[in-house]
Amino acid sequence: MVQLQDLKKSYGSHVVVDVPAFNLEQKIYWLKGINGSGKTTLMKLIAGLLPFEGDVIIDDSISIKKNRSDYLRLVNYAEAEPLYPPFLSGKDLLQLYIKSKKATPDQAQELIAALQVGSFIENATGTYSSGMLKKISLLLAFIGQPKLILLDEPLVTIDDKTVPVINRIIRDYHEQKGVTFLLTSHQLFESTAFPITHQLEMKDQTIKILS
Amino acid sequence: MTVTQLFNRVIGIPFYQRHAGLFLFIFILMFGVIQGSQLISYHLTLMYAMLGSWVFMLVVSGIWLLYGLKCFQFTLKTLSEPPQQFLYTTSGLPKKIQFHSLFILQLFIYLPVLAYAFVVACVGFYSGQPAAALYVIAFNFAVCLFSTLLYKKKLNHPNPEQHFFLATLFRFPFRKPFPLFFISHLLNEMKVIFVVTKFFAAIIIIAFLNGFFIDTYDGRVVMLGFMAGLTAHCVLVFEFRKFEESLLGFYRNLPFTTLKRWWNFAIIYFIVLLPEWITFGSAFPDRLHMADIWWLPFFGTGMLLLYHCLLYKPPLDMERYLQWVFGISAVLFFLILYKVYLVIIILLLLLSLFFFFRWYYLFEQTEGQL
Repeated sequence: MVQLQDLKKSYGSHVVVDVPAFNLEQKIYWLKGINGSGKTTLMKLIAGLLPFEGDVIIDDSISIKKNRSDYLRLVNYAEAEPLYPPFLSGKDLLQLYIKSKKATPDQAQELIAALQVGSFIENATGTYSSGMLKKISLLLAFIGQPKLILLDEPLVTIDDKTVPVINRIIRDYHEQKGVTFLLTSHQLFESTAFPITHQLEMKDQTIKILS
Repeated sequence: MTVTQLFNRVIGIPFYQRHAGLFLFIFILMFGVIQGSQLISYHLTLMYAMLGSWVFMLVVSGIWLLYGLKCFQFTLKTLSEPPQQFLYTTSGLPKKIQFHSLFILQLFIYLPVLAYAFVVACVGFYSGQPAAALYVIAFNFAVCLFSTLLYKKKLNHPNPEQHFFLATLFRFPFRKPFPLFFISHLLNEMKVIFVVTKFFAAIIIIAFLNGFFIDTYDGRVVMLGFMAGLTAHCVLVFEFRKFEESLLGFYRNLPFTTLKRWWNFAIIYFIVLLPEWITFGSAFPDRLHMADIWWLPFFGTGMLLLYHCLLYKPPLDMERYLQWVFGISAVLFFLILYKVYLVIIILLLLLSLFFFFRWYYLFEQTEGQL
């Protein structure tokens, strides 16, 4: 379980996120909200990319504030619009993730095959299309043994052939490894793809349960 | 709006905006470190040295060419970006107008070199060295002409699939650990800053090592020379921090301990200073004694590491940063004179650790910082 405790993010006097208490169970959550509602900011806070007040605790005791590196080993994140240095290849990034997230080369090979990135992973990311970059960022988000995966607009720029593959990976990670997912998407997820347990909405700077 | 104005607005002005740090750095090196009263005689000496020695002239030409390549790479990169591809509609214009507009654009972005080269050429004619003066004119005209012809070719033969600038990328042919991300960035995106920094650092360090300032050997003089050379790296460090915030955001999501992250930056700056280590190694033991050499790696790495860590305290602002840099140099100057090297190294490392642990996770880039 992931506990958000007094999570607050402000820019000056402008509050962007204010979540007094919220628990994410071992489920798949679809976070909705209009543009600018704070979905991406919330994800970046939980992923450890931005400073904030409060705490996020995973497995009852691992705090992002007190046990950051242990916490980050359990929380993976894929940005909506990933950016990487253009001279690095997908493989350079993958190797850094394999080492830091303590993944196995076998897991990486399986994901490379499933997402069909083998043909370009050795090339510099500066030569990639936005869809190819997106695939690499998703591949990196599935690396290791995470307990929470945050995917910001995972299906944007992804081709029709790959969408079912991503859906299957999400379902397998959830059902077989017990991974919690927090997804944002303006596109509809197919109802048969994986079991969306809860729909949440980011509104008035906080999280509201829709269903 | 004329076509010339359009090119200048879309390519020329953004060129200066994006390289403001580089220009500030070069301006400080060329005009800021010399006392006002000696500025003219300093530059005249530099120009006479160029005009009088073909070796020196070739080195300076190399720096001009590097700047020309920077202009060239930026223009081609901008032309390849989707928002700027409307410029390809200018391929329908008469070739003469197209060439004229692109040539003006090249003159505009190459202006800092042209202005200096113009003065060099005038001094050359005035001092009776017409061959060297003509070389300066011909060289810079050729750089502008060839660049313009290549821009024109790119505009008239657009090929979106061909990433020209990417084909010229430097890539290590092996797995890159995190510190090499920065070295790759240095060799790809920061060539001009890298060469200018190392050029100035080398001149200063070699001058101090060879006793240009005092006759007898004194380890403190070497340390002071090294400190001046390290200060010339301040813009390079600033650019590294910008790179970290703009393209390495994902690194914060990776499970490294804070100490490991700090250590990675220590490795980066040790590698950045490799040319200096080679210079010092070649001076040992005649011009650099054993008692002094072993402090240098700790001192150099520690000083650049402190510069880097200071930049985690928001905002990421060049003006405030330069105040810190000059303040640190002033304090170090006196500590070096007292020869308390161990105290200096402990201070540099502890302060860098303090700033890193205090601010690393609290830093957040805001609009307009990068």
